Amino acid sequence: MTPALALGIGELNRRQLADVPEQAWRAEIRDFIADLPADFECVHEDVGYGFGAWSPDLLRRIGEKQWIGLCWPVDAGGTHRPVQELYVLLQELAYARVPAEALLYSLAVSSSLLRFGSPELQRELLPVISRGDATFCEGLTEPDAGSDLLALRTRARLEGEKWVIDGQKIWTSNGWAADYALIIARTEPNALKHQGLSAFIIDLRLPGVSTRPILDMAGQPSFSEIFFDGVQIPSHYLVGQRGDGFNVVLELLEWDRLWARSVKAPFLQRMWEDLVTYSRQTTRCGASLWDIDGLRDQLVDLGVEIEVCDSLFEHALRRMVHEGASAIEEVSMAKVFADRLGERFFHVAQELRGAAGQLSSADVESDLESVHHRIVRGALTAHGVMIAGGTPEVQRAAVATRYFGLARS
Amino acid sequence: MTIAPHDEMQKILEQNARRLFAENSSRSELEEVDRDDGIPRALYLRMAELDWFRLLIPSERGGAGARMVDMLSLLGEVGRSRIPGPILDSAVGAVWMITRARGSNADEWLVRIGAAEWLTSLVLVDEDERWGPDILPVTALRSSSGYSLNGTLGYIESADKSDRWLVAAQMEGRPAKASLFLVDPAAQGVTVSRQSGLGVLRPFVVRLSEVLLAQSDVLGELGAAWPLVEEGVAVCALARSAVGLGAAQRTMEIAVDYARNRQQFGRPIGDYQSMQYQCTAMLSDVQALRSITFRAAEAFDNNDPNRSQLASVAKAWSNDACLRVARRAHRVMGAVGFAAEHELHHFTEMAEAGRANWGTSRFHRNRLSDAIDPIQPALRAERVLDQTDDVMSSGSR
Repeated sequence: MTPALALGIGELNRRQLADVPEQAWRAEIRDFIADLPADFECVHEDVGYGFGAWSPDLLRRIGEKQWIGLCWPVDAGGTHRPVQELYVLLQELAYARVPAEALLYSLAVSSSLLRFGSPELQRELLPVISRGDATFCEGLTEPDAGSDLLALRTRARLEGEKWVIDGQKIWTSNGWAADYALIIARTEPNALKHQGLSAFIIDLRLPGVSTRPILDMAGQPSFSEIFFDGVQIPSHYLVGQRGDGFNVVLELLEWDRLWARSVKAPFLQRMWEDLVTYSRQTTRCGASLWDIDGLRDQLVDLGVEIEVCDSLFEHALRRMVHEGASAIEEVSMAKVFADRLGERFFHVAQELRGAAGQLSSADVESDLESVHHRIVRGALTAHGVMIAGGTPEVQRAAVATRYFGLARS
Repeated sequence: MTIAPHDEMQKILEQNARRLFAENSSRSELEEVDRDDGIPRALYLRMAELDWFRLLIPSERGGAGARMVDMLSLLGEVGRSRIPGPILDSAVGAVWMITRARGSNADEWLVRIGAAEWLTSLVLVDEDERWGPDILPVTALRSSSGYSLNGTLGYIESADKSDRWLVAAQMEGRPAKASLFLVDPAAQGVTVSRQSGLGVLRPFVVRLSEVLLAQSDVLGELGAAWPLVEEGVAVCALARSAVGLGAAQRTMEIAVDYARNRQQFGRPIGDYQSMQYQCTAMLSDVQALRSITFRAAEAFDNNDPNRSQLASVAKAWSNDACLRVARRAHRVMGAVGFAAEHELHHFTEMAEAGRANWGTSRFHRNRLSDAIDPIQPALRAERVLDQTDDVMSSGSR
């Protein structure tokens, strides 16, 4: 990472986030990154969030550093560091393009387990998660339950000491690659739509589970279908109270929107630095792209927006940490902001590529090949990231009703 | 982390300001100055009694020793209540520059500015031009008894009513040497002419023609003021963003309130998703405005080396964001929002004028791209010089 980022984005501002001796913490993270081997075993590439590729190998290395349980209580096996340190960790990893996507899901699911899991389940799973020995996905969406999530139909019924799960999930990120899924299922078929739901952890290697990867439009198997056919799981794999699954999911989604987009700024910042370099090196019509006023202005505007985006997430995190307030509206709007910025960013990036924009990869000078490749992937995945975790329309409807108190349409 | 985005000090300032600006005496004075095209002196004095003009002056120099984040909270209320006059110039820009200059008279000036006894307008740079210490619109020539100032600059807030001007000048014959002078507008050789300001702005063109100043009118070290001027412009741009934030927040509240109450097709228009979309889009811009403005403010409080750039980031972004909020509010309000009798248009005008006040987005983008690539301004200068050479050589032939 460059010592001072061009627009002042990054460490100088984020420094204020932490009471901790942040420079030492950053140095420790950077040492870790510097010591990583150049090539990782990765299942697939970055899917557009900026967390990098999915790599169980990397997850174990982070586990060895005891960073998965960074903010967990000590008696849960964690080191109970302030949440700001986690923020710094994720940003450094994203900027360095470390393939850490699996870490995000381990953090999200462990957060649910710490809050809602039974002591028995915590004792069983937290050590495994902490070591980085298990990967997770979140099974929420179903074929007929997308934006209308609560229309879900996967059922769980208690038979003796076992829960038996039947149903199907779809568009589950990394569902075919993960070891476990946190899912939500209907346990009280006759209850109201948002009641009678319960959350479970399911070992995806159990009999009765089958998964099918789905290729995304950028050519990666980033999501999947998961089928449950009479899958039997131990009764203590219920997360939270029976019938309280709705609240488990609400928290999970807040986590998802905050943390999954919190790295948008460092992810785009790194990419933006590539674009600045690219635009200085690339000559068109006798001038470098950077010297063409219209293009340079667009690039600088992107730099401005990346800074604004980063400040939004910092603001939301501060509200949550300092005021103990739920920042659910801030987080929803920040998610939309970040995803729209991603779209605009790659729109400008494609414009910079000029005629090469019609190529799916570089086909040009080799030292710029990765820039071209990243732009194409970014432009394509931006469409999917916008939908993941809830469409902007769904976010806006929720904010309109919850924040402004306007009527639900 | 030491500063929460909205701590107690900021809340108290906001509440007090909102209360003061809503009082009957304040309202009637504001209506009066609106008719007479003046500035609310009595209100300023009450603000000064509350220490608001000396907020940014360090306590050891007789000020309130507050932070930039506190000042910006207050300026948000200034925007929300559309308070006219050189508050930003005086309480932010002038105070910021004077407290950072080592000058024999600085402390006395601060006392007077802090008491709102000297409302101070800033005469600094032409934001439509390339800028630097060598191209300031005002020049200073050393004379037998002191200095002689010459030059013209527009868009100077309330130059007719202010008690002092803080003027940046380049030293004649010494390019790249800038100085700051405190000028009494009553001095010989000073003229002002009114420009028709948009919204609450009261801009003037000031002309300085052989205005004679003494050594004691120089702020700080002679010829060393450029970094101070540059930072002063940045601070004012940031302050302007905070005024815009307060106005945008109020704009959103007006529109959302209207959406809740206005009935069409038998239900409040806020029931319709298209209207809800407009409301949440305003919220998104207001939230982002707040977070970037306060991030930049903290950078000033923490003496962050990137503070000046962050101010440009904030202003470049806020110009457009304030306008977006205004446009969406009009979409929600329909015809009544376009009516002169409704207050919305005042905020729309503030957004339109604010985009050009203390730097357009283009101005601030150029500041940023120059910072990213320091070769760039030199290249541009070369191009200009090349053209000049052509003209000169063809002229001589």
